[in-house]
Amino acid sequence: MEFGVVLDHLPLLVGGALRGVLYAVGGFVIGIACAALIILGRMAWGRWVTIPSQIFVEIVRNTPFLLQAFFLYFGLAKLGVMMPGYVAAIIIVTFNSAAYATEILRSGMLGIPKGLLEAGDSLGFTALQQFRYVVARPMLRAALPALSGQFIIIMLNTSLLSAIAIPELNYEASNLASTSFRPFEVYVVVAVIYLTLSSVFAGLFALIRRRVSGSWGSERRMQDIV
Amino acid sequence: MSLIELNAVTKSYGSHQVIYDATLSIAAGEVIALIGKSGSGKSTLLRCLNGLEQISGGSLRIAGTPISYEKAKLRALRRKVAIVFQGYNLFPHLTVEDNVALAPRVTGKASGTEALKLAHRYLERVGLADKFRAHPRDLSGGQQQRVAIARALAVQPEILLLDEVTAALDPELVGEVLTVLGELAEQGLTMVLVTHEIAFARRAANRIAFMHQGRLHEVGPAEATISQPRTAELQKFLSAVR
Repeated sequence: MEFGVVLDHLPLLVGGALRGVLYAVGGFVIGIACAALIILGRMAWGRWVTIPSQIFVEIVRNTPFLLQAFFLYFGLAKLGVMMPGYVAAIIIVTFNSAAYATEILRSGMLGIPKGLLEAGDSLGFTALQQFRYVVARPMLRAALPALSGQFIIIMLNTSLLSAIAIPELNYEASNLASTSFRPFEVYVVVAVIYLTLSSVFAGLFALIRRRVSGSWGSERRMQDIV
Repeated sequence: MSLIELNAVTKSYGSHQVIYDATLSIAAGEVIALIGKSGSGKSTLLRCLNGLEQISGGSLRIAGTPISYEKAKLRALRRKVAIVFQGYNLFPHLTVEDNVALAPRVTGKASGTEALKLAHRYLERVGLADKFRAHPRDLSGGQQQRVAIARALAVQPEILLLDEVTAALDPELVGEVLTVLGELAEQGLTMVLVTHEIAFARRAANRIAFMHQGRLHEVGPAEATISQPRTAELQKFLSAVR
């Protein structure tokens, strides 16, 4: 066992981990925003949005992450569509987040009693008002546990981005493992870093969840949420 | 001129017809009670009046305007015709005052403070002045139903529809909701209510419409219709519910 070499290069690994997290958080935030827009679009325009968006969701959810990365980075280049690795990476993370979040939000919405939607309709709300004031918060509340799990999966999946030369944690780790001849020690440390990150984000989501649902029984006013 | 005019209205779900040839005019200020067995079509007919259900045939005019299911027109209709449901359907994530203030604020072009004032006024009217900041889940069924009535009134509708609003309540809570409805009737609000409270219908309504197998089977002045039903079906229904 010789962890000294690995610990000497810890800043390198931490830097890689932070870049991976950056892709995950950035892509996930944009992805959730896209998913919310897709749900809103489905409410406002029905199948004209539902059918194309569902095709997108199925394609992304039923092809491997790694294949998507290769397709975007190497495959499209053959057609003359070149993009830097970081652009391909953010697109892939965003697409995956959007596709899975759309399904998660949809199931969160299925849990909203039909009567609440009828109440909103009967008050003369537009689709946007209905989404914003009636659907959004109960939907998010129902979806948060699943979103939390999905974020962790996506964050761990960023390790696959090393295959298109994104210098994230797994990429740095592979380099270090081959230059230091200490793969065991390197990958133990890397595993610890991933575990730490996952726990931190799981805790963060738990905090958000408590904030969103805790407010339902306490003093909280519409002014705070709109 | 009548405020609501149904002319030979029919409603089917696929091949299953639930309303046959409903013709009825309701004048402004009138209170009409729809009574009848479960499945007789009374809730469906009520829900046609604010476009929650689309009519399959015949014509329906509200305040002289033929009903249209185009989105913007439907929204305009619903600002004239409010509805209160059996299950209250309050927004669980909003306080009582925000439940009531939401529609005026979002659709009625009232500012935040105006909408809140309006909400307080209607909540006082239904006897809930001490519950402004409560959440729906902290209220009893009767209180929740009164919030729902205040929420509907805050839209300042010309017509209030009530769909079995006391059916989900414990017997001891029914009275508080009926009191509010009785007051609204006295104040001259046009109301159409689906109800099983025959005694209340007899007292508060101007007219009773008895539905039987999807048809408006017997329609007449409340008192006379209950005390001297003309058709055998209504007689049978009344003796069953008494």
